[in-house]
Amino acid sequence: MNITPQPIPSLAGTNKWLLGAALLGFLLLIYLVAVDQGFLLSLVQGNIAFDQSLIHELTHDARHAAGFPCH
Amino acid sequence: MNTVSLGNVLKAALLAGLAAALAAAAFHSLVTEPVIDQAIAIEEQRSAAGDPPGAPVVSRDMQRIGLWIGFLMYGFSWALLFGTLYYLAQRWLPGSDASKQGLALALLGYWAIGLMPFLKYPANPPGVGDPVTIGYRQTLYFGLLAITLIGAGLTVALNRRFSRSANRLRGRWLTLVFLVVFSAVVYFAMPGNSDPVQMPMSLVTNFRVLSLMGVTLFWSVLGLGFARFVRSSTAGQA
Repeated sequence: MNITPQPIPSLAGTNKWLLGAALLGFLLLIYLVAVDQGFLLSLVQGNIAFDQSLIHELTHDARHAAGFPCH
Repeated sequence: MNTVSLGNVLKAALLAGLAAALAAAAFHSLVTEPVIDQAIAIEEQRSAAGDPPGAPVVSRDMQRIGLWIGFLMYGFSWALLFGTLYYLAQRWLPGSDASKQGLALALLGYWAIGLMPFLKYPANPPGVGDPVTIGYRQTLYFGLLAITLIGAGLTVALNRRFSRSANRLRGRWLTLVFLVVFSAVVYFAMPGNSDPVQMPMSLVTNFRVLSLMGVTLFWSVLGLGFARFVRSSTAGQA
């Protein structure tokens, strides 16, 4: 068998800030649309955010239709 | 082998994500919203007997707009992950050019992010999930997602390994066998959703079929859109 070693792709020349920002953007957006039960707004609203769960209620229909777990 | 720059990959992915999000949101607002309305009506009937419901924080009309907002976030979110993974893995993906490699990754994404979670934890209309178990169900759902994403990575690695051996066709088959076995093991090993379904089964089934159609539409548009946009961005480079 003749296997030529493949060079490991290096990230030299890659804009690592852009790469990091893209991954961070992915995590933030998926958290908002699929997970949040009031935590994010509780940072500004206080405890009432957990009762209102504004982001959850706003994205409610998308959360259900996309198949994410919901109340 | 040509490699597409990260900026161009992300641009193509986000454009495709936007198109996929709009397609899925349009589909759901036309055909799935009436089913959600039915489910909410049943839910309200049920709770009318018990404690009186408080005023809704977000009105139904606002939630119908929220469907579009939610799907835009959904579209951009998966597009960002798709673009990042495409960029990092592009030289290992099967396919003779950037577009075909994009289609291969979209197919894998459909399997890992769309199909597997749907098969194991099928979508439910409002009124099915128990609010008390939401944390547990989210852990299961995202745990499964993490496992299938790792499975997708292994599939790419195996396919790459096999395609360098003498018998290419056999390698493709072996990769496919791995994917099927992996799917079956994950499906049977993961604990199921414990919540009882207290809704008419016909309505739930109806909702699930529409949800799967939406997921399929989303990944089709994302894959085809990315293939189209990445081609036009590489055309200038050649």
